[in-house]
Amino acid sequence: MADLDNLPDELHNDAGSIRDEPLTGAYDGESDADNDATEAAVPAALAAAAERRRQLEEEDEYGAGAEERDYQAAGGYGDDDMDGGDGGDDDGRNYNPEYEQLKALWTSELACPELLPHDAENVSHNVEELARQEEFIEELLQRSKEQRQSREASGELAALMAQMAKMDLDRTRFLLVDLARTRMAKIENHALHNRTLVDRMTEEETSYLKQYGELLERHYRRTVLDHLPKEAWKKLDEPEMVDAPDLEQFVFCRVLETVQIDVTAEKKNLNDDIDEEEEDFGDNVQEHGEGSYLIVMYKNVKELVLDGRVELLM
Amino acid sequence: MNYGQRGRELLQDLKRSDWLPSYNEDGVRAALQEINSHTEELTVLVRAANRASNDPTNGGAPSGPAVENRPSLILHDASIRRNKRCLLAYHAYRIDKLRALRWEMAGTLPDPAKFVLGEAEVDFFTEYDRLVAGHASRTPLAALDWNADQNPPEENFVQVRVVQGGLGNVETEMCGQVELEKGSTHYLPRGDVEHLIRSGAVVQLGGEETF
Repeated sequence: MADLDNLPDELHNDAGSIRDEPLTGAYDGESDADNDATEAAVPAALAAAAERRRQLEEEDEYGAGAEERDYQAAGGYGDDDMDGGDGGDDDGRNYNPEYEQLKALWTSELACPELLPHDAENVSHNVEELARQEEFIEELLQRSKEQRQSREASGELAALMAQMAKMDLDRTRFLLVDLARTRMAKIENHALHNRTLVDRMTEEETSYLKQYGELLERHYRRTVLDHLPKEAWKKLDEPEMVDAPDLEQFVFCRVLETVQIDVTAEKKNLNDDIDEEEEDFGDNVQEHGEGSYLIVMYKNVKELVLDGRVELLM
Repeated sequence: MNYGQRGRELLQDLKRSDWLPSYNEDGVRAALQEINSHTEELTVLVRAANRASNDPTNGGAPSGPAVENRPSLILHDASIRRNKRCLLAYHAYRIDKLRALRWEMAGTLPDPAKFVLGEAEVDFFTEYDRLVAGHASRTPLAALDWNADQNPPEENFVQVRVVQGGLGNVETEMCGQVELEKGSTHYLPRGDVEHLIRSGAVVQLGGEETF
């Protein structure tokens, strides 16, 4: 199996030997157009891990910061908000907050029975990232082909980097599309109920809701309702007919800030015929500290989720 | 006096079948007819009740139909609502399956499905497809293919075997042109063969097959 930890070092060495430059030149962060492109061949995650190891040996913090700047310049997965001076990252991974946020968004949307507020900025940011990543992969493949043709090197490492970057790209793409699809599915399943939740949807989703609602209504009218004699029975939006999402579903969640959760209403339907001696549990408010993991009925934590103090997990 | 049986039959039909039973035109019509007969009886009763309550011996303002008439009115109204509910549930279940099918098949209605669908449902399918495509093209994610990647991507390359003949060549990003001869096995990028896997033309090998 490939030794992935040392791979970035090998790549640097490989590139260094091709371009006939001293090894240290690659680490000093000297801005050199060629060098930049080579360094950008290493996905940020691996490079940052290697960086950290190097740091522990050399304590060259300036070098790390400069490397990050290089990545950003070449369009790798960098984050403009992260300072160059912020040498080693949290756990050695190049933490891309936008991507993490997208992942959190996707996780909570999947876990939640109802539609959550949308986040247009994050989505558009990630879409731009995608375009940049695509070019970057093209570049890598190009270089790999050239290297193979010119017989300087096997071109394998660049191809491998291209594969990994492509995997990354695929994952981001999947997250974005699946997020959109899940939201659409939720809108469709609870179409009538979502008329009250329009402020959580983007404009396109609102118009989609309307169109889908009309499609549904037309279908029902054509098959059933138009054959009914009286006007009063043709209605589709009586309160008991509206399909609301099941807010009593249990969800896994993680507490981000200390919260108080009222768990009074958790009576299971199965216990209906058993005599309940304590009908009224009184003030059953539980307090949970930050970092605890819970399984709760969604409706008990709904407000907290929307506030952002509790986070849903899959 | 067999109230409610039609509706129940429709729903049991749904429960008994694998995917969808063929559109039960007769069942639907019978249920609607039952509603109509209820309505007729209801109208007769209401008229009779109103006449009775408007009887001068009742003294002045009519307070609605008399108490002894009410149960039958309620019964008919409830039966009508129940039939309506069964009918709507029947249709709703079918279009739910249709929507799932659309995502699976990425927009084309397979022929075997056409046999079980009613006319209105075929129309619904095409309309829904159009709606989804229209929506996808309006969002910022228009450039991405929404039909791809129904599961999180695991591997970049997959091993597939061709089971359908006559597919010709397929153009891939990195491997050039690949000829899809029936029975041949290939190791190709996932994105290029995903639509083929979904349509059943090639089969994904798990890597555990023994020769």
